[in-house]
Amino acid sequence: MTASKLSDETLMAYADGELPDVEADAVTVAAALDPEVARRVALFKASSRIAKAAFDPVLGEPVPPHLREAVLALGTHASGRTRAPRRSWLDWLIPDGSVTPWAGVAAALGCVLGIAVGWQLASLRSVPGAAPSLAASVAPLPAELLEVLERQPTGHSVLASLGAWTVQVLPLASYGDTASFCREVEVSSTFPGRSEAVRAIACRTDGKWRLAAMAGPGTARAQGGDYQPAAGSRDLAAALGFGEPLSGAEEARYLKAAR
Amino acid sequence: MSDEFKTELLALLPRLRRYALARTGSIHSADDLLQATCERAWKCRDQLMPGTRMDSWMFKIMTNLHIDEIRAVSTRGIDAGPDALEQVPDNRWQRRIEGKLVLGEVAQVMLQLPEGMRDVLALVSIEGLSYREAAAVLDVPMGTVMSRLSRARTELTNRLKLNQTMMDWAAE
Repeated sequence: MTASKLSDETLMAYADGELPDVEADAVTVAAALDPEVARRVALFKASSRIAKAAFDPVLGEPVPPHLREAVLALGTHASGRTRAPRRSWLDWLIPDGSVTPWAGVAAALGCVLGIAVGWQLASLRSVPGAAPSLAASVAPLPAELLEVLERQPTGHSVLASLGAWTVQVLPLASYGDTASFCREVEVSSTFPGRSEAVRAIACRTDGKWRLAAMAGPGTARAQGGDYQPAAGSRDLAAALGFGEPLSGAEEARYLKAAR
Repeated sequence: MSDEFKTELLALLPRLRRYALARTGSIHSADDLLQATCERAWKCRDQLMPGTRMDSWMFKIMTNLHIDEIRAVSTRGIDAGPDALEQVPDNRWQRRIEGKLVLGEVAQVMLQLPEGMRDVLALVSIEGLSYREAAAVLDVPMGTVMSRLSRARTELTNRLKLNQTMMDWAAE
């Protein structure tokens, strides 16, 4: 066997101890005769050791308590509520992190071991026909969002700063009646170089606003232009069983006066 | 059964965290992914056959969940591609070997590798699975594992520009 005939895979398997004995013996001989073969084997050994060494320190770190608690809480009512906060602008919308994309997927799909059957929270626009995720959250909504829900007419957006992010909340439609007044909003966020958006429906019952459904993040629509109802905007409302949105005049009856 | 399951899961957390870190490159994303994986595993615990290695089974769930996430970010255009590298340097994982190499570099190079190559590197080189076990986790033939792994490791050594000091260290 000459060096040129020894493939990378063979030398790697040799370095990893995965080569059958007969072949391994041949490589041992080749490596003894040819420094180039020995060098290639050494490189394969080194690459694994270095990759492992880079990540081994994590084994010595204590596992964050919230992860251990989350495991212990599996199957109990507290399951999924001990999630660490996400360091993202979505924290603003869902402060306790109880509705994260992953949590949403896990809840929506139940036990699915196989490769993705779709991203339930994916952009309605980029995944036509994708079911919006219904993710009820008991978390109190942020004050800035409540302001918009209570006072801002459909089509009139409000901007807020959140660290490096600029968050825009745009009411898309209103539904319901005095008993349960619901509003669909698009919460989009821009950051130097990128932007994303989620669409959410929040409902006011007995004076309290709760998040009823959420979809996205999707790519934010062009900012600054006239408001155009997104093609998919009815999907989320339809998923909740809502009919036609309220007219501007109807909506105004349920809004508090703008400040 | 469920207490046993949780005990085993708790014991595996450090290794699962290491795999999650190797996949995501950021400890925060790793912990998010790990928690989601535990939740999925719990729902699927009836499918864990007796005799199946729980680590391999958990790696599989995590891999699939993470692929979901990668697909999702590629449609929403955030945290994917080169931008994701911004998250990588986490001082806790930067250890110098002989003062020559910041190990954070390894994580950076890994994140630049195609997903399939990173998978096998994480499973075989870091987690110590055999080629056959890695093939089962990823649902690909063993030959695919080998070709991806050899390319991944060649890329790693090329991009890190291993010098003699590094080689000596790694050969110890």
